[in-house]
Amino acid sequence: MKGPTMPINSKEIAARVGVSQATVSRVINAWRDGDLGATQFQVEAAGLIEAMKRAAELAGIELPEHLKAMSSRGR
Amino acid sequence: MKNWTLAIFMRALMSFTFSCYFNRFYRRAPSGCTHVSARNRQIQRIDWNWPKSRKKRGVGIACNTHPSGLKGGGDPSQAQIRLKPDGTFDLLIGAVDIGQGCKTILRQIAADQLGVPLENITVNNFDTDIGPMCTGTFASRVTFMDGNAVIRACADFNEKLRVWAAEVFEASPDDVEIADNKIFVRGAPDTASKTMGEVGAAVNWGGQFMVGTGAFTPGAGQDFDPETGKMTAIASLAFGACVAEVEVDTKTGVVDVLKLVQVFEVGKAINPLLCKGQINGGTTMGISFALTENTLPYYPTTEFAAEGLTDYVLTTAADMPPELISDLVEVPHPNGPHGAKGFSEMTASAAPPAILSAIHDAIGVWITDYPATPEVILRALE
Repeated sequence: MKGPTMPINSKEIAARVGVSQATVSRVINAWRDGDLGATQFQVEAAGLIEAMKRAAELAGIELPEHLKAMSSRGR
Repeated sequence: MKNWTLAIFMRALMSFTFSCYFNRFYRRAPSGCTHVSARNRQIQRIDWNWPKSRKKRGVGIACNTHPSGLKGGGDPSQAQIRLKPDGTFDLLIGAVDIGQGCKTILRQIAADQLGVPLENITVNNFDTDIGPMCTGTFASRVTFMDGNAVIRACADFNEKLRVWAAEVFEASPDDVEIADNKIFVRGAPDTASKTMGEVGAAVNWGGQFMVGTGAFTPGAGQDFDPETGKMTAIASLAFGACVAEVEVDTKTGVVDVLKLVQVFEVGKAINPLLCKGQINGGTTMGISFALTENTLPYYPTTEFAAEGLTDYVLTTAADMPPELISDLVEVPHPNGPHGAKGFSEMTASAAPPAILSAIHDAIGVWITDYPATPEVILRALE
């Protein structure tokens, strides 16, 4: 597979466990401050959740309240 | 079948075919044309609506992240700032501006650090043999690395300027303020003050050469543990999210990107207009990755390999989606210049997976190799 492996896998995983793609692969699974990377470095100044929430807002996608309440500042 | 039966059948077939083509060509004709309206009514009666139903729409999302500079470090940058006799400054950098606007951004940073107008700073990167060292314009690193080097060069210059001013004004260097294109002693701005033009003339014609230098390397990778592989591999991470809406023509395999929403978290947008320009440029590349660019369309064979830009199709501004919405989010990084992160490359990589995900949403088939050309789409549908 040379294409977008992560999006495909995450979408299939989401379908199998019965949750939306946005829930499993994008918001819950997003890197946040203090998370560890592949070489055990600590993530600083994470902003993926904030970017996703803004993108959803601009695209007219209504996120559930519990996803809206999430932040990159901690779990 | 008798000849007359065949003749009636062929006549009916020709009539039907003609009506189909007639309707197809003139279906958007002005409504005042009653002849066309009659044909449309005829088509509606037989429920022939394939021109619309063959097009499927879908929505996909994708996220990405990207480090500033080389993973593992080892990519330093240097900067030099010098005061000229007229009170303006030369900023010497080694970074090359390939259209991303780094000369503007580094100039903004220097002006802010020195407290002088933007137009009083000239950015020079004319000769990499004699200019300050820069590892290069790649890896989304120039704003982060060179920006930090410029901040350090300006801090070095300001320190030297304070020492010079302290001697002139017979004050403590700690009491010397630098702002609004002048220097002054705190508490006595009217009596102990000089404009930067006066400083430039006094310093240079007085036989001195006031230069600030700075260098920056992120230090990533220096804590590498060979036993475990543990290390601080990256200087900073920027993040992005993309939502794509596409329309797939199941008859021709053509994919139209109708809408792209892209949001990037950039730490601090030093120049928001340049950031959004970067997003638009990256989007052009991203749509190309997703839908057209292919050097070896029948890999591993080399048949029909692209031999030039007539075969290697690149999208242009004309291929931009009708709705292209981009925005920036800021989570300042503690090590970035004013909190900025590098994010330029990731503007090209957010859209492709979102587009392929949207194609899957539209037609229920995963395209697992870029690009999703019409041929690939039609073969997948088979």
